[in-house]
Amino acid sequence: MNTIEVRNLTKNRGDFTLDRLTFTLPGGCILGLIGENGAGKSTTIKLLLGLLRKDEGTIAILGRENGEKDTLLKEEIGVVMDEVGMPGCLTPAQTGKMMSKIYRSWEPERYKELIQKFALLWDKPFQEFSKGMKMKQGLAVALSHKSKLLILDEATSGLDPVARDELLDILREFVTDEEHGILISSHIVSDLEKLCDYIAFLHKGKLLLWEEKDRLLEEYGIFRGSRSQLEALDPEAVCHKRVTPYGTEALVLRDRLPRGTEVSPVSIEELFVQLVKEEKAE
Amino acid sequence: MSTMEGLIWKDIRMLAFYCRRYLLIALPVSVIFFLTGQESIAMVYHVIVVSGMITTLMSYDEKSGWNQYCGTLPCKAGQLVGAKYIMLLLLQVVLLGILAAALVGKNLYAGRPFFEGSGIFPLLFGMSVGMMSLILPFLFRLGIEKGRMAYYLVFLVSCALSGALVMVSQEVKVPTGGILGVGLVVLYLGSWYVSTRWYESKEEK
Repeated sequence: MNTIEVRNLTKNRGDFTLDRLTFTLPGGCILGLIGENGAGKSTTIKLLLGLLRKDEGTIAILGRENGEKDTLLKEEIGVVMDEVGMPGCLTPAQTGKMMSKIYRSWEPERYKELIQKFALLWDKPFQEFSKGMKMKQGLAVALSHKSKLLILDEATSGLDPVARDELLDILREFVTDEEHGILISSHIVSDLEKLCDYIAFLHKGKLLLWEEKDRLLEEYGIFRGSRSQLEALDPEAVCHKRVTPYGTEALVLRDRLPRGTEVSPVSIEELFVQLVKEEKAE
Repeated sequence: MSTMEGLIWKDIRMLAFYCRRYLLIALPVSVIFFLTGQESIAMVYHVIVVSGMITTLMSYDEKSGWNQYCGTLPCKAGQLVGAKYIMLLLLQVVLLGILAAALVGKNLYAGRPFFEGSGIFPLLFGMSVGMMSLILPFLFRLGIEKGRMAYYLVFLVSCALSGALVMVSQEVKVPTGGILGVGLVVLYLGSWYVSTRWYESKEEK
């Protein structure tokens, strides 16, 4: 089962339009939503959660169509937003007590275990936490009510490298269940590269591509050579080129190149930057 | 109901944390006004204290991003709004309870019947619940920052109306307590309904 299915999702917000987004997140997978600031990542997530009203399109979450307002469905979704949003005066202990009344399937032992694992002080008010600690508190809640879908908006951005690594392990463990899925947005592309099975690139409200990560890395490569060597290539194979004082560098489609052409692997970050530049050049 | 219980529990914790100094200063002053026979000042003061506490709670909810986060929890907009309406009544119980204790103490000291002079309580209750019922829909619709103007406006109009009512009541027969009570219930429930609708229709919480 797909944990998320989005078809032609459109939202106009004055000077910004999220334009006919279509993507799916299969069960047991992690989808990374990549985009520069203002690309529409948070708008997409807010639409999925029903925090904004869509203009057009359909959203199905855990098999239920247009259930953004469905409170029962929200029992199964764990969310951490960029601004975590917990009341500042509540300690983790008090937050746990509050959530036990809000979620029917609240797991106090799991919550306690996560708070300990994240080294958060049980009696320290949320407002005294650092950004990373706030994120961890949000994650502890998101992972303590038997959620099947995790939606994380820039959740790794405030974490130090060790905490980020720990988080990535927790997320990997979460998707070992085939019914679970994670949608994670970030502009720290290296995190998503390590973690995700699917990648979606957003740019100015449009989905540049949505693809399996491994396939993307197989499909694209970086060609480095002289200007004349580059010009000899099939123009259809060249997605974006850059001329430097030392030669040329181009993002290319591997299967359109003549056999034997030397191509370096491309990272997701490079791929994203090149595709955005190409889009801007057009 | 359990969700609502969680939201009210959170508001009580917030009240204890953010408004404790408020309570420590406001309550003795309120009791002094009340016991020294300055009921009209006590009434205005009570309205200010109650509305100040409710708007403080709403302001912290807005600033912390709680309202948006709450939209991701299994809570309905009506429950989030409803928690504030129930807090309004709980505050009345606590604050009027303290004033009643002060009154009983004063009467005991003076050797008068326990509840002599308690006729002002329905008025204190009615004024603050009525005024907040008029203000809350605007605060839910516009947010605390923009809703502040509505707050001041309703407060001034309420003061003017109550002043006019006192003057008129000396010459004309005003509705009895029962009718005013029913009116207050209708106003409170209507306000709750409108706040829920307006809050639901608001996109960015």
